[in-house]
Amino acid sequence: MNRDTLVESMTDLLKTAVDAEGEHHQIEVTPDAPLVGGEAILSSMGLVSYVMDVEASLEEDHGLEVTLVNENALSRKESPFRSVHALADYVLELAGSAASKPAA
Amino acid sequence: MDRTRHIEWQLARFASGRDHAAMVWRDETVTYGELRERVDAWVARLNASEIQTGDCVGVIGDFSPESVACLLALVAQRCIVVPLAWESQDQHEQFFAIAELDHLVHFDRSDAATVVARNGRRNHPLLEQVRARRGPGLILFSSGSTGAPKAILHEFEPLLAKFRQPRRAYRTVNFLLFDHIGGVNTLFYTLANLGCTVVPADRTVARVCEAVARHGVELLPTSPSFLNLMLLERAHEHYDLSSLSLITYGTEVMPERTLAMANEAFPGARFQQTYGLSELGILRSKSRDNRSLLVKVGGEDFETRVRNGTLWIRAQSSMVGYLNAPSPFDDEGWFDTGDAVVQEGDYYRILGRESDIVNVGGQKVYPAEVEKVVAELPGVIDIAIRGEEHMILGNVVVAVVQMRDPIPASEMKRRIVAHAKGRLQPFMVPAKVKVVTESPVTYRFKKVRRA
Repeated sequence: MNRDTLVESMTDLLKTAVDAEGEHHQIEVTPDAPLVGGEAILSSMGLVSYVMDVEASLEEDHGLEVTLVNENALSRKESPFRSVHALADYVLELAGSAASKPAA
Repeated sequence: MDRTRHIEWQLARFASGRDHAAMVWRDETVTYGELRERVDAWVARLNASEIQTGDCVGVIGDFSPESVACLLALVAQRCIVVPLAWESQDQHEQFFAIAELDHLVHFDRSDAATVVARNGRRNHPLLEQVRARRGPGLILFSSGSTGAPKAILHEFEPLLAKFRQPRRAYRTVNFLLFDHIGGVNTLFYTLANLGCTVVPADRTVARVCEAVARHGVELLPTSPSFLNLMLLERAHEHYDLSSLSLITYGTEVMPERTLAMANEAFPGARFQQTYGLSELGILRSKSRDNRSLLVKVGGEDFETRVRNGTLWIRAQSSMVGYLNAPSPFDDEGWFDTGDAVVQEGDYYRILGRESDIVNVGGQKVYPAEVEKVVAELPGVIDIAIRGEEHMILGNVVVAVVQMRDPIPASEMKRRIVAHAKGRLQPFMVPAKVKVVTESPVTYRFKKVRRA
């Protein structure tokens, strides 16, 4: 999985999610845009839905079945949900550990 | 027992705490002395208006100095109060009709009120019963099992009687909304004990945490989903929340892991599960300990028992009845909460709803409502909505769609989200979509809603 294309497709999904909420006008959707906290460009519900979109696209495009919202992710010092860049790194990390497991 | 009406006792109590902070709203503090003046001004305004004892009066707003003063004045005038949140505005006209509203007090965001006559009275026998007893009343709305909202009529006094027993005064964020039994309960608990109600600008994690940090809030009554969102955003690291000494949670089932993680994040706080229903009021409750999901519920005015695995309650503060549905009480006054429980000694563990309702962050989603909207899309043959466990929201809505010509699930989700806009509330919109080729119904023509 190439990081740049992953970030690009995840940013596209984010644009769709921000558009779907429709309350934000002319928000610049970039891989650095904050996804959590006071300045977040998505509502909490929107974030949950977006993360599920990312999970679905990983399965559709890469055959990768992962649950991004898990105990490990939530207990990290630096939230993997703070931006697309951070989330992409987290996906690659999970993909790496999935790939290193022997096939069932 | 003291026979004075609660509101008289309450207003007299304001005088003894004249200089205590009653509310913090938009970062401004209102003392009990000032709140009392506002109540008196509202009583005068009501006397000068056409609003009379026994009238059904809707109040639209959020907790604010004026809306609370208005609410107290309406109780003092022995009106039947219908508190409504701005958030449910799409349903307001329907609510007005069911409650046979005589008048409406509408607060705007600057705390200014407009009073209008609605003249909706049709002498509903239950409303007449409350009027005949010359006590104040309360109407709350909750979704019924068919998805149609039910109007729950209470006499106000029995709901308030328990607050005469002095309890600890807290600085509290009133997290639950104006139209919620829990929000009303927190308000009257706080007023009775001369505590302070801090109103956040909205109910997002950021604004609630700002309010806690800025105003030294001690009690946060919340829901498991909100705690999850706080943990997701690592709010305890971004804001100084060390003033919190008690965090209460209710409205949905608490996942064990969330409770454990919340305990780590807030080591200085006690955790307490709450339990109540719009039909019965809020019970007194006691968690076995901070990390336990076992809870004792009851109090002097509540009896509990388990029948067929669900919790039944008989309460002194039970509602008079539904205005638009048959009485749910059995001959002896017991109410089936529909919550599946396991009993361990004096404690219960609440397992969740018996039915198919999907509880997303404490808000109920009725599969049929969502299915109806998704089925309107072209190419859909059949659709089943079910819940799927989710770490943040407890559950999310999943749509299993049978398509005439199968398309990728991501494309189908885009279509559903676009179509649902303006038709469904955000929490009802499916977060996950599966496209299948076989029908999601059983031979009995029941939806397969279980994963």
